[in-house]
Amino acid sequence: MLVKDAMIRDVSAIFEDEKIETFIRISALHLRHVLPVVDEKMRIIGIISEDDVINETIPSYFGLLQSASFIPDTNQMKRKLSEIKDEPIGKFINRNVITIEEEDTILHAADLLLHHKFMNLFVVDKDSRLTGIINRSRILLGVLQEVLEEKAAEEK
Amino acid sequence: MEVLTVTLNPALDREIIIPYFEPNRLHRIFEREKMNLSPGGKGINVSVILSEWGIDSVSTGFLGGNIGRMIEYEIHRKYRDITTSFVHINDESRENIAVLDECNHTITEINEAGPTVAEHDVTHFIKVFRSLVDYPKTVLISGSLPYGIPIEMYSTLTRIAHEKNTEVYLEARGALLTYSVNTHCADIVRPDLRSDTRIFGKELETMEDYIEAGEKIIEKGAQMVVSSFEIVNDIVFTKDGIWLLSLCDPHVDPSHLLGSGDTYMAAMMYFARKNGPDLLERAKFGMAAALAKTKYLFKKSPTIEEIEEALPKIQIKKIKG
Repeated sequence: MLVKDAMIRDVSAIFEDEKIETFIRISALHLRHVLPVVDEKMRIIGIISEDDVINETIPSYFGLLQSASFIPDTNQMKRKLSEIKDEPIGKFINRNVITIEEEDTILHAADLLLHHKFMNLFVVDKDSRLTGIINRSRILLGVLQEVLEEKAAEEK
Repeated sequence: MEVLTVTLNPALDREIIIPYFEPNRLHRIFEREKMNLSPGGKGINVSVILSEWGIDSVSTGFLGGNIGRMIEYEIHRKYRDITTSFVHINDESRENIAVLDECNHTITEINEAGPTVAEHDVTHFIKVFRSLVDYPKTVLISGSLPYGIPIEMYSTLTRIAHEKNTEVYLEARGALLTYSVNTHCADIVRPDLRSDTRIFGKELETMEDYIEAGEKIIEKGAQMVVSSFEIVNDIVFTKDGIWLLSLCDPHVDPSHLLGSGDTYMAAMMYFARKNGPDLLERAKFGMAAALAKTKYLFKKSPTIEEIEEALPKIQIKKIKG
């Protein structure tokens, strides 16, 4: 089974000159944790995730703490977010993006997802243009379908 | 990807078949096939028809809320050849309900107005459109504008598409059509005259009125205008002349012609892709598709074979040029 047989053909994306506020809005309304960042020809140039934004809004010393539960309110986070909400997302994106092509196998997709602990993997064509998205449940559903079909054929 | 379709105000179309439908009564639906759920809106309809003929397309516009997510989900579930790129907005997308009663021969329709689109979503959409339009050879812009979208939207999109040398098909009506044609005219224009026959602020009544309006759209820069005339005729305008396309047998049930505009547009795009740029032949193929569609009462597209069978039923007469 190939990526093209299991992928979702959706190319929702964001552009690097758009604001953090726009990213938060799109990811919330579209129920996406990660969005691909594309150029004016739909070529993928990076990704931005909710983690990237949350990381920017909590103080840097948090990493040294065992727990943040004793800090009483979210004022810190509010202040930080109001500072960065109008900044272009270009400053926060991960440009080391790993993509997959439609003709690759879904075994390869599964391996990449597990190895890099990704939630989604973006699918591109030969010119790096975004053509869709593949995630764990689509891979499992795709394989399950093949298993069931083979079983049904055997029983015949 | 060959084609990009734009639907700014999509709908979830729900068709329910209820025999002897009447108000003030409880109607129970026992069979699943008496209810049909489908993604709708004119641009999406064209993507669906193209997909049935094996042509890939990208569909863009605005979707909102759970109805919006259902529209997107239905597209992905049913049509492998359609890629989505909708901007998701805060307001809920509309739902259109049609109750079809085959016993009393009635159709009862309830159509919602649709969402209001916020300014920041419009800004994001223009960026999305600009990057999507880089690839396909053809763009189709069709249908009405939801609240919040400025009237210059269609001419803006046409201008961006023309910057990338992409051909633009436009179907719109009334003031929106007039504004779009005047400001930055699309290449192939089909006035939607179903509920509004005003173009350039003038009600179209006689054949002379239709000809005057069509010639004016050509003057504004369209390569071809296809205008329906007295339901069973079409007037086709190009820079080289004007033709009347009519049915050899004009006895078509007019109610079956509803929704044939989307089939017409899709068929012209299909023809141009397969057989090259001949404009009059393209229009004739579109009309044959609309005629072949009249076999089906509901949202269902004719096959290419059925369109080819319908071609000899159309006669062409040159009116001018």
